[in-house]
Amino acid sequence: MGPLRLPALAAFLLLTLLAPLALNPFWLRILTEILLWMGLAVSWNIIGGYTGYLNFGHGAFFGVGAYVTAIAMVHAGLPFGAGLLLGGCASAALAAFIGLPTLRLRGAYFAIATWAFAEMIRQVALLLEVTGGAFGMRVPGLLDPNFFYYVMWAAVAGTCAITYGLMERSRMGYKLRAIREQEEAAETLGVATTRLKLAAFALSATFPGVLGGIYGYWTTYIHPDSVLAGSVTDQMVVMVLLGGLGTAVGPILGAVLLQAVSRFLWLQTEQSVLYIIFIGLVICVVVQLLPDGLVGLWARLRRPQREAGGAA
Amino acid sequence: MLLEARDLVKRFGGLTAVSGMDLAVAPGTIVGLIGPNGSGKTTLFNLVSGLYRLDGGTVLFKGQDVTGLSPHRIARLGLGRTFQIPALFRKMTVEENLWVPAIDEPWQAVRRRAAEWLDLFRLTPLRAEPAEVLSGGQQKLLELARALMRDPDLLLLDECTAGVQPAMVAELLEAIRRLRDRGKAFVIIEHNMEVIQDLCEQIVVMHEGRAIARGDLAAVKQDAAVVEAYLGR
Amino acid sequence: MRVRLIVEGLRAGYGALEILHGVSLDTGGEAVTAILGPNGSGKSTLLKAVVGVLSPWGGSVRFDGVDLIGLPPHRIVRQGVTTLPQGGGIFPRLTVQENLLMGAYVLDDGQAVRTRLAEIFARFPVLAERRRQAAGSLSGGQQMLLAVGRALMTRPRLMILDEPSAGLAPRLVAEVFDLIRGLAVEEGMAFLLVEQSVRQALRVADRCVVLVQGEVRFAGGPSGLSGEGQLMDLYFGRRA
Ligand SMILES: Nc1ncnc2c1ncn2[C@@H]1O[C@H](COP(=O)(O)OP(=O)(O)OP(=O)(O)O)[C@@H](O)[C@H]1O
Ligand SMILES: Nc1ncnc2c1ncn2[C@@H]1O[C@H](COP(=O)(O)OP(=O)(O)OP(=O)(O)O)[C@@H](O)[C@H]1O
Ligand SMILES: [Mg+2]
Ligand SMILES: [Mg+2]
Repeated sequence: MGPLRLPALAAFLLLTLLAPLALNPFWLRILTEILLWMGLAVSWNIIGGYTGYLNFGHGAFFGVGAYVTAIAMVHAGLPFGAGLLLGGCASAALAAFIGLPTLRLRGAYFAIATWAFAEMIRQVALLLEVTGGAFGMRVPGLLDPNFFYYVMWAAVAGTCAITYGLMERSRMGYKLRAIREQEEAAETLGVATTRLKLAAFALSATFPGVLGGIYGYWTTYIHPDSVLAGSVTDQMVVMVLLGGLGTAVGPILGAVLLQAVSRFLWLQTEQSVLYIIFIGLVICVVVQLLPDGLVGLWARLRRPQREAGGAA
Repeated sequence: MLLEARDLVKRFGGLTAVSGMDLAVAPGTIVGLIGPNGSGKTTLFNLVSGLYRLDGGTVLFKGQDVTGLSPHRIARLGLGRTFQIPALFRKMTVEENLWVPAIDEPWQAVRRRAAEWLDLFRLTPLRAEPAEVLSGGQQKLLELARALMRDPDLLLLDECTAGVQPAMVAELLEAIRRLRDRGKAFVIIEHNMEVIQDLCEQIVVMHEGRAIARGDLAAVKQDAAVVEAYLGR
Repeated sequence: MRVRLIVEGLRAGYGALEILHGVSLDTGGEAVTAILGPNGSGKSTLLKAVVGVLSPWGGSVRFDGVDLIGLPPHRIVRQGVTTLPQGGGIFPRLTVQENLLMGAYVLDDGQAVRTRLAEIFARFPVLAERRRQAAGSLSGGQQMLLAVGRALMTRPRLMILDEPSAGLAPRLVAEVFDLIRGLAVEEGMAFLLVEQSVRQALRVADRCVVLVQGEVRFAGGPSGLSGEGQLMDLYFGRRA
């Protein structure tokens, strides 16, 4: 925490935007993926960090965004931009729809409900004709070097991070944190808790929707087991928890670290088993030693600690 | 009448915590609500403020039927309450705790008002600390200050002096009296009879979910049932 | 002879913030010692440092000749010290009866536990009526009563109580203080208690200590306190 945070964030974003000029395609691609995960992790943190509602179905919004954008382009012949817009809106609307019943639930129940909902969406995508079912869907892509995608994702992830940062000192941010800390008290103090939680949920779902739309355009092929896979959510969650739940910098840090390790292990071994083991280890370490993530660790190291024990 | 609660009923499984309770509060008055532990006082507050769903009865606030309305709507009509066991936003700072209830008002005014309450309750040096580090009495004071930030027309106070040092209790009562003189109304749950004596023109004694006596302190103290159930000896 | 707790030059705090600036206190073998003082003066901090929940920075705590500093809290309990933390610290999801049994954790004798439980149920019938109810769904005062009951499940040599009367109705307050007096006389127990209900506290106390901003400003018999005009003004406010 500190007054330096916003400027630091701005400098970081600027650096990110200038980076592709100096990088070869290989590194550019890695950075591009990191940006994607950054956006996803930060968006998860909007609902998870501010309200404490842990969404274990966040990946569904990514998939829905990808499919809606693809369908708009393939079946309705809309341009990419219009498809993206639709993807984002569809995700937000869906969040509002499922949030209405589930955001009344508490803690673990919300997590389970969102997880089940995501699984349901995946099954539906496997069955429908318009999504191509189990065959997946081809998306007309832009055979551009990664530069276009890099800029797109940087823009979305940046917007998401700035949104998160601005919320911190906003009226909505205070109210959401109050809800997280003590929902009943917040309510008796005039905070419209259900409406605010819905708004935060819809906002947090918009970003993965847009990111998913770009993703389909990028890979040119989407399948329920790629964009709607449970592992998408798992990654986001682990990134946020590693970096620090409810902090502005944490999810960014977590995304950079985990995605870098993931790519490194892939390059070394060409298989994903090691990465899964690594994720397991990270979860153990976070749960055991870093309840407040890396950001919490940093804060703990910096705060002057009085040696306990004294005369003993 | 500012508040008129009629024939309220609340059951928890087989236990009827509030059974046919009436409560009326006029503007500019302070009503004392006393009664043995477990007699249903806090439950009554939870019903009136909308936190619990009623099993029977109606609540009118400012002439409007607020039965079944959600707590934040009732709050916005001008009804505030505190919690017996402080329900602070523990990880937020002391000062942020005070901002939340008034956050939609002009920023400067909110900060100024918060600073005034912090000053009165001697919490200013702790304003940037997370609320969870406050001592027991300081938490009670913050709980009260937070409810006052909305400047409600009716404030339900649930044992707001318990654990507060005597000197501060005196100042707190003075602040309540000043607000009363401005036309605000209060219902206060208290086990400290000196506070009741100091503040309340009108006292309601609850026992097993209903009112067993009403009147001023002298009258209530004479009542055999009250002595037996509540005061002892 | 009743046990004696002697605290000397105790310093403690949180993070880098020192709250207790060298506090000394001696129960002198008396039955009931009351600690009074304004909110935030460090009373709870003092109790926490004595029972080892908070590690002191310096000074000494001797209980019946044993140095308590550095002992983990559970060892201190085994020395015969029971604590009732501020607010009661009950386990809200356990039932009333389970909470009481937790209080007897250090007793190894099953028969003794059952007798104690029956005693407490007899003394506070409301706890018996609610024995299978989750403690968190009790009323505020009932929760406090449960905390008192739990502390009474053992017969420690020293019982430390942080505002045991908070939230209790007048009749029960009188009952709890009578109980304290009774145990002190009949069982030879010693009590160290923090109270904001000053009148009640002074009625049962043999000795009182006033803590202001982490320093002891008065120590002595309750009658001596009324002579301290300045201190009384600070603590009670300007009184008529
Ligand atoms: N959520 C709940 N579930 C079950 N019983 C409850 C619940 N809340 C309250 N009760 C019971 O209802 C009764 C009334 O409780 P309430 O908290 O209203 O008492 P109170 O008058 O405020 O007492 P106190 O002076 O101790 O605060 C008590 O017997 C309590 O055990
Ligand atoms: N965990 C903590 N971290 C930092 N400061 C703390 C912490 N706990 C307590 N304090 C501060 O230490 C001071 C003393 O607190 P303590 O709880 O000992 O007061 P007290 O005398 O028991 O007050 P009360 O009568 O209100 O219970 C308070 O100003 C409080 O804000
Ligand atoms: Mg109550
Ligand atoms: Mg205390």
